[in-house]
Amino acid sequence: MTKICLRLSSELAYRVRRFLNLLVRIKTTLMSVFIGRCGVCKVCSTAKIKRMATMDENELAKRFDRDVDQILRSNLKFHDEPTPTEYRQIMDIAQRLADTNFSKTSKIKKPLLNQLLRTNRKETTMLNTSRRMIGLRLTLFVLVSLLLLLMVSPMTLQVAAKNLSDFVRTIRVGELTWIQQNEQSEYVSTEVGSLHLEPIVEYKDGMWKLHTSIGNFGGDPLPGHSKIVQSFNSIADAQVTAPFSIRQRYSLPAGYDLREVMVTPSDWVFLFYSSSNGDLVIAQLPIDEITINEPGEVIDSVPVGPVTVGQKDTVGVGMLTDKDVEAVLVNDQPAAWIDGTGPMWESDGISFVAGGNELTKEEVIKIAESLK
Amino acid sequence: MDKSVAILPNEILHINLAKEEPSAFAVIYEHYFPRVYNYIRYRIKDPDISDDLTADTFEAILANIRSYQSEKGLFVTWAFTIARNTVNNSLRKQRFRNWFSIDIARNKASSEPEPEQYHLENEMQTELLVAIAQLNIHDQDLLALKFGAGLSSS
Repeated sequence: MTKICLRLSSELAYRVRRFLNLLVRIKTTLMSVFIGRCGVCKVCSTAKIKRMATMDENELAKRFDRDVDQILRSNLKFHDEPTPTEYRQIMDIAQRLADTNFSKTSKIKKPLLNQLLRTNRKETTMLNTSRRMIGLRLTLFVLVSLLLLLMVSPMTLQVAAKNLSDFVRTIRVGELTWIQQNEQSEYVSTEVGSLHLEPIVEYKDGMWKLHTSIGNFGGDPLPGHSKIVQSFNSIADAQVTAPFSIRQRYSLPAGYDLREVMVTPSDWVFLFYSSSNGDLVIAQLPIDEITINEPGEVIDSVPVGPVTVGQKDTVGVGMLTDKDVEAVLVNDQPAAWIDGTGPMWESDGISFVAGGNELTKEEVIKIAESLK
Repeated sequence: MDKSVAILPNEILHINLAKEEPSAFAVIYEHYFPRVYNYIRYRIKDPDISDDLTADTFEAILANIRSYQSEKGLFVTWAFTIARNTVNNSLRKQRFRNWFSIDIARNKASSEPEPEQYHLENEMQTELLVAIAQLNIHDQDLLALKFGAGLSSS
């Protein structure tokens, strides 16, 4: 911790030395937004910025730091002193930054506190119960997820404001696989598919959507991928398009035959099996590395250096559902059971969801555990 | 930022109480929520993700508050180390490909305000975020630590 504090302190000191230069650089943009609007000052010219840069940076940086701290620690406004015009303009920006409070627009403050305290009270009991069943790590994730319940979406927030006991549960079923549940019946309109329901594909708002007998799914096409859900009659044919080795060795109940394979623009692969009793659906998605293809995808990870275009990055799998979700085990590993759908689990770098509308929970989990 | 809460009176006392009784954490939460949220919002444009990361941060603070030792550093430094790591980890790792239940997606589409209305709740703040977004991530962090978190350079 000492090292962390020292590092942070050191970084702050370094950054403060850069403060003046930084605000000079952002000055034009910010002043065009604020100062130009309020009429206090006029947007300075490039020539003035250059003059500013030639001033004694160390002296101004020290003074700037002192003045900003004064702004931050008191309600006193910065008063003009014999300083360059540019400096006063920059201080005006600093004043406006200091006066900005984004947190007033956040709706989570009260619900989050209630959830934090409520969850904390439950922590000991839940830990003792769950640790024996699914291990400490998953338990903690479940607990943590309870804290996130109110923040998943603005929709959820609206409901949370009405009833704090309603929440979304998140269960992490692997290093990079998780599922979030919205328990709000007000927002649930799940249509349970009929037996033998043929999957229906539609495209809307840039998303692909797939209606199946075990639930309705959708997602955003990955950059550079086909935007069309492709259908195949065999796994071998689908394998040509699928970006990973499709897992196909299961122990299926008697009577189930592969009917169709779909490869989605998000790399999900759906295997549809039919029987006289009903459908079985097995969905797979690899947790792998993707290449950052667009500038907007650039992520600057401070501790390990920037991730640049063309560099690979690991992605995980997240799923939202409005159905009940509970923690279960698949091959003694943490998994989630999605009511009305089936288990979601992670194995060998693949996230899976499986379900059969005429299969019992035990039967579907047995299929999941037979996966090779 | 509300300057009147820049320093939490009797902070160590509240921290020690929170170590024993979680309900005492409320005082600390009330004090730090605006600063933590503002810090995260400076760095994360999306308000929903900012909410998530704020929750992550406070959960981590509460979960680990028993390990905080005042003799090793200021609580504010410790707390914002957590906030900073939370944001950095999110930027680095949380590149999840969301898989939706479309029923939720449909309801979201019909119940949410237009993105502009939602994000532009305060036009001036949004324009500020746009301006800040033009900076590189290190400079965004600098502004966030200074003006969002209200941290001193000392």
